[in-house]
Amino acid sequence: MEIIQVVGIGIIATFLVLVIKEQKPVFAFLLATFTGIVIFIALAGKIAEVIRVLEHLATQARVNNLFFETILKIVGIAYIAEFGAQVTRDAGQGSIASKIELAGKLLIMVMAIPIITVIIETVIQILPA
Amino acid sequence: MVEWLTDWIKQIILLVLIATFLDLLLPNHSMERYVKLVMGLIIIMAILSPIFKLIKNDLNLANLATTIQHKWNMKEMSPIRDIKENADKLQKNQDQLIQKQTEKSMEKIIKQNIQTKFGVEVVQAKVKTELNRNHVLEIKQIEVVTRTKSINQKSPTKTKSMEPVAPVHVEITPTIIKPSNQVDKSLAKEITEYLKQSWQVTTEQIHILIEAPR
Repeated sequence: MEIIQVVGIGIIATFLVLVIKEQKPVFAFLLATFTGIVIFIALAGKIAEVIRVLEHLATQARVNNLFFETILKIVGIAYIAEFGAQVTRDAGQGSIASKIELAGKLLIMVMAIPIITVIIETVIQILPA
Repeated sequence: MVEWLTDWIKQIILLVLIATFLDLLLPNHSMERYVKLVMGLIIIMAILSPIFKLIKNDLNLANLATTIQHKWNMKEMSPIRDIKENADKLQKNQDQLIQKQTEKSMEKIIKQNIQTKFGVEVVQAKVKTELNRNHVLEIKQIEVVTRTKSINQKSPTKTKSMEPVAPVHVEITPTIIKPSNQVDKSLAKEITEYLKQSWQVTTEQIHILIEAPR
């Protein structure tokens, strides 16, 4: 039933934005952003549930903690960066949106650095006798 | 072993599942490549984790081996000195024992030979030996104290008569030796000659004292 609430909030917000946009475009943008944040927060609980299940599975399967933390961080970075980029793009600031995306990509790559170093070190250890 | 294998496989399967899930979750395609790369790396890590463990163990083993070897060397270094010292001590002990044994047996032989050959009673026979440079025993001195047998003496009285003589083993050099009469002198000479021949020693090394019979 939550999808109906989310869709309802979205449709109402869209109508309001359409109404306000003629008079006050700034408020229209603020309303759109706020609506987006509300939907995002409403869904955050669901994401938390999913992550909890995954965490449980991971601990049961004895997945390395480093791997799991990295994955979760990647998901979080991707979501937040995406959200910020979309909001800025809605406001007509495509360049800022692309910068936010760039930051997100960079941070995801930084996440991979410890793993890459471990793999490279291992390869170097294996190669010379 | 089986448990470890199932753990490993579980880990890989779960990571692959999470990766696919993540692909679905991702909001847009611009991030997909990066996330896929990182997920691929993580999965490779999970697959290679046994090798990592093996390498770590190998390194530990190598360290252990070197430390053990080090300790071994350290332990061995000091004992070698000790062992050598011990060996020297033992060698000395053995040499001394051999010396004593040789002296004793030589004394016995001299005693018997002189007694049988010259018909005198040998009160004391002393042989002094010394190790020369080549670790070979050399005779340094032969001291013989004899007593001409009185004809009517018998063995039981002999043992009795020996007791008072015992303290008489004073160092006697050939110059001091002055046999009481001519017979004794010639006897001493004969014994000296005999010893010289049988033991290959010089006259200076032989000291003979002849006591008067009791």
